[in-house]
Amino acid sequence: MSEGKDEVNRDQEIMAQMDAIKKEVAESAPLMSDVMDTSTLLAEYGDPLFTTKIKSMLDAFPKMRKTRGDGNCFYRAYAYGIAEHFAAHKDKLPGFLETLKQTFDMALAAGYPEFTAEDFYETVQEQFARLKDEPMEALHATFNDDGLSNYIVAYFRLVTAAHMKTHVDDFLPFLEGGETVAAFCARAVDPFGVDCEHLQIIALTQALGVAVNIAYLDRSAGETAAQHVIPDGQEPLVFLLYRPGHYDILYPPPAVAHT
Amino acid sequence: MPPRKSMAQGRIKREIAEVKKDKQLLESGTVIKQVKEGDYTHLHGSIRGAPDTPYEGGTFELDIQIPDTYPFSPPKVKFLTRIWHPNVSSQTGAICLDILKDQWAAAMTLRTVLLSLQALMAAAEPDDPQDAVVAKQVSPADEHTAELSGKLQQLVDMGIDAPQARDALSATSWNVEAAIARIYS
Repeated sequence: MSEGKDEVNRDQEIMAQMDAIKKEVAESAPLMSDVMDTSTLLAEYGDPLFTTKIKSMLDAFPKMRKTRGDGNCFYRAYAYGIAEHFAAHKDKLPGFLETLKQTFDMALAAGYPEFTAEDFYETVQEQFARLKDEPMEALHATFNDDGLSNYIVAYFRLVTAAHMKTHVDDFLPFLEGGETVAAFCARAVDPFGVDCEHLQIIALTQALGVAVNIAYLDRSAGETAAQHVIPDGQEPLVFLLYRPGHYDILYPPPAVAHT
Repeated sequence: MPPRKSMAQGRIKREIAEVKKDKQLLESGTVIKQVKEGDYTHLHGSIRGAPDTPYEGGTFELDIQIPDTYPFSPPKVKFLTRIWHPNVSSQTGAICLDILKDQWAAAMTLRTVLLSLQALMAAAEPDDPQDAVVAKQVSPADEHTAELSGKLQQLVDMGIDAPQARDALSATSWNVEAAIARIYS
C-alpha cells in the first residue's frame, strides 16, 4: 500500500509547489501592466542576438505593455488588445459585440454547458459593452481584477475550443499522434494556465474575426524580429510580442495608448 | 465590480441547484449538500454504487473542498468511504481522475465531476492507477475475474454451496485443492 500513498504525497507536493510558484508570479507582476518603453526590454537581455532584434523593432513598436506570465498571457493580451482597439473605434464596437453573441451560440453548438458558458459570455459581453460610453481605463481595471479578468480568459479559451470542435476538418490534419480535436481541446485549450500555441491562435482569431500581428523575439536566424499576421492576409488590429513561452502587447507609433 | 469571492460563491450555489435537479444524478442516488449552512467552500457528496458493479448496494461518501480560485482550479474531491478501486487510494481516498487535475476546465461543474466519478466507478482505469496494489489485482480485470469464477464453479459443481466455497477459496488464496481439503477436513 505504501506505493499508493507515496503517489498521493507526491501529487500533493507538486500541487503545493505549483500553487507557490503561481503565487510568487502573481505577487511580482500585475495581470496587465501600464504602458512602458519597448527599449526597457534591452535591460533584460545580455545576448547580442536578442539586443539586435529588440533594437530593430523600436521604431515600429516604441511602446509595449506587459502581461503576467501565468500561461494565460496570449488570451489575456489579445483580449486586452481587442478592447483597446474598439475603445478607439467605438463605431465598430456593435459589430464586435454581435460576433461575440455568435461565438456564444457556437459554444453551445460545440456542446459546452449553457450554465457555465453563459456566465463567461455575459461577463465578456457586459465588460466590452462598457466601451460604448466609457474609456479604456475602465477596462484596464477589469483586466486587472482577478475574477473578471479570468472570466474573460475562460471565455476566450471556450471560444477557441468551440471553434476547433465546430471546424474539425480544418484542424484535425495538424494534430499529431492521432489525437482527436476533442482530446486536444481537453489537454491544450480548456485547462486554465495552459499556453496558447499556433493552432489555438488560428482558431481564436478566426472565430472573433480580429487578426493579430505577432513579432517573434526568439533565437531564429536574422537580425530583425520576424513578424506574422494571423489569420494570414488580414489587417491586424492587435500587435503582440512573442518571447518563447510568453506574449506581451506592442504599440506602433500612431496608436495612442492610454497610460 | 463584484469581488471574486462572490462570483465563485454565486456559481457554487447554482451548481448545487443544478446537481439537485439533474435527472441522471437523481435517479442514480447521487446527492450533494453543504457541510455547514452558508458555507460554500466545503461540501459533502454521496454516490450510490451502480447495479452490476462491485459497488452495488454501497453508498460512497465524498469530501468536496472548493478552493478560492474556483472555477479556475478544480474542486478538491476525495472519498471518505474506503473503496477498493485502482484509481482511488485505499489509504487516503485521493482520486486519480484527469478532470480533477490537469484537465479541469472552468466550464466544468460539480455535476460534471459527479458524473465522471460515477463513470470511473463503473469502469476502472488500471493503466492510470492511484492505488498501485489494487491496480495490480484488478488488471487485467476480465481474465482475473474469469479465472476466479471458474474455480468457484468447480466447487459449486461438486455440490458445495457458493458462499461456503467462496470463503474456503478466499482463505486458501484460491487454491482449489486446498479449499476442498479445508471444507472436508
